[in-house]
Amino acid sequence: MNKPTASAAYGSFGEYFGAMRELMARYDALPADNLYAAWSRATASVAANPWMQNNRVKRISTFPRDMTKETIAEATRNPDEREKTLRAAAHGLEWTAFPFRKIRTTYQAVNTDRYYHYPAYLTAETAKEKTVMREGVLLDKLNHMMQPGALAHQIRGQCVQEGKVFYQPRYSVDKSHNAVKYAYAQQIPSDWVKIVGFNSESKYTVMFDMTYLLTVPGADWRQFGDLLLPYLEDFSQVFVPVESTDKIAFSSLNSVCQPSGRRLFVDLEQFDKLRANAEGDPKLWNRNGRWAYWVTLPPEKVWPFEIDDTTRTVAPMTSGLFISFAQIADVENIALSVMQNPLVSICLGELETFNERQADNGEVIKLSPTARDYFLMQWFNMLASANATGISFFGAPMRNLHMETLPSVTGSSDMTTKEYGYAILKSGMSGLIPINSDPRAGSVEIAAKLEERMCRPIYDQMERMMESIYRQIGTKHEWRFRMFGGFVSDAQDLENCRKGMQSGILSETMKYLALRGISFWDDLGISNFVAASGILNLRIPMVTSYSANQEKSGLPPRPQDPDNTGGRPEKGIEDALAEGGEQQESDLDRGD
Amino acid sequence: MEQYRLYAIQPQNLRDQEPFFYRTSRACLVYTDGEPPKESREITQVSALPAAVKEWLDECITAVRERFLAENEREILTFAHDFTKALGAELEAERQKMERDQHE
Repeated sequence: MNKPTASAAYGSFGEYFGAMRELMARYDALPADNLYAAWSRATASVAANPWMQNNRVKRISTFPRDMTKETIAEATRNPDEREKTLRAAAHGLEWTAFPFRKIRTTYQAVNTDRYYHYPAYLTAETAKEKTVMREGVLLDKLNHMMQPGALAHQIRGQCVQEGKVFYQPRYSVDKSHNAVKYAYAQQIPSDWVKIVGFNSESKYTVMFDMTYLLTVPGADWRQFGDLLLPYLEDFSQVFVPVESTDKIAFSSLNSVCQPSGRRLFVDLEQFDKLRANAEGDPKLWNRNGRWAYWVTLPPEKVWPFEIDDTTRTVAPMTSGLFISFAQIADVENIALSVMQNPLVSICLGELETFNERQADNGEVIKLSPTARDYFLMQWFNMLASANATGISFFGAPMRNLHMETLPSVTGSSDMTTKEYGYAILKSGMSGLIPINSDPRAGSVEIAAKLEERMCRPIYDQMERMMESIYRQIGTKHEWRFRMFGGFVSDAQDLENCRKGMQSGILSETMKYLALRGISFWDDLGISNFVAASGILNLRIPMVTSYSANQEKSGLPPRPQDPDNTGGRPEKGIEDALAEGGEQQESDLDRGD
Repeated sequence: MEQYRLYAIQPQNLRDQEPFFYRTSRACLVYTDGEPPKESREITQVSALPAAVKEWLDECITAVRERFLAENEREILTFAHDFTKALGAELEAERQKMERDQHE
């Protein structure tokens, strides 16, 4: 039996080249076609290499990049043309400026992602149909597997990072057995989709660049389920592998090189023939030497999510904070210099100059304006070099020399605290992320409620997506999906739901259960289970003066108290109080 | 690793931290994986470049590759090991297939 073996590695590149030379020497008699076939299959077999796949997965979202403030500033001035740069900057800053990450995680945390589903437009008769409960259970199973709460949490964070993200819900439902095989949502690579229109289902129509499959190492159409399947046939007719037997003369411009080294010829004539009837209305173009084959994805299969619903630019909404956070590292560097060498005192004097146009130059201590400029330059040079040395001397002809001590000089911690506070204030999150020891409870609560509302478009889109899935499954009844919740409003909502239920508003039940983290069908199941288990019969009420003395209480007997016979008082409350007062007074007299 | 591209720019637009650049008195070439430099024009026809520039470009490409190899040595050597094993098996399969074809 073949046992799986752990992946080994060569000790050096020399060893690898040696192994390749050995292979080539052993099989040098093989014709070129056989060599090519073996090479292609071997390349495909290592596409599943964990390192390669790990790199592919990391690049589903835009890859982080460290960039200069100048590059960031240039990108923020031109966001429509620099979407990818801005996304990369946002990801990069999360690794260099923790407060920037903190803002993102705070947005993720303020919403609590409660949800429930319910049937719409039922009458008293149709509500009794068995299919209602059956479909309710099926959709509850689907929700449970899809985990809309966890998905919304993830999407909210990604929308803060990238502006918009695109997801493909994948699920398999067996209606005849009322079962769900799998249900989850998969992210579409950010750098390979574009918003190209609007639609009534998922709001934005998007296109996908199929050359992703050719140029990203380890990418495969199967990684997207059947999403890309309809386009593969046309795509493979346009991007044709160049075989050694082909008699095609091609220029380097009309070809694409795969990561495996295989070159594909871009057949423009074939594309012209296909274009009219091709799946996904493909667009083929070459931009800066790179080929792209864009296809329109089905609106009901790809769902864009966004926080800011006014812009179509797929760039982070936090881009206005980039410069502030990019310079936090610079401020920390300066603060370190100040900490090592605080500027506590400085010796000042007057550099007097004479008027060059006057003939009287007798005052030799005075400088010419040019000489003054020279000494000034020396002064600034000295300040720059003294930054790390502590004490420095500056020789210049000066009058009225005197030492100034700087008692309120900016400390290193002051500098970083102020810069950090400024950046957080700018983000509008100072109510939630403390920047000093003076938080105001009122403004914090309002800020929290506002931030809860801010990510509402994600809830809206999640509702649309789940209801679209319900429709695609083909349920007999119409079902709704609702998502809500925030860490401040939840407590008030729970109280309102409780009051609503007490007032007989039955629809509050759904929301109440969602706030408690269980679905209506969970509640039914748990309640049935608890009732059938018999555990309720074992619940013994607490011993009170009433229950303990009832004949049928079922409690063990206990000694009778002659002063307290139990049960309802025989006298009126006023009489009892009057007598009680006298009794207490007599007890006090006795000294009991 | 991002894709590197070659740009022609005005010398005064050369950025401070540009790792690969070729500068003459009148023009400047930049080889970068970042955003296109300011007022730049991408050069795709590398074959038309003078020999000295091609030599510089070769050095840039070698430096990029060396850096990538150094940063990912362990993973690449593991990958290379898996690949040569797979290639050896596939070459052997092709050899046996060719032998069978010859006997038939």
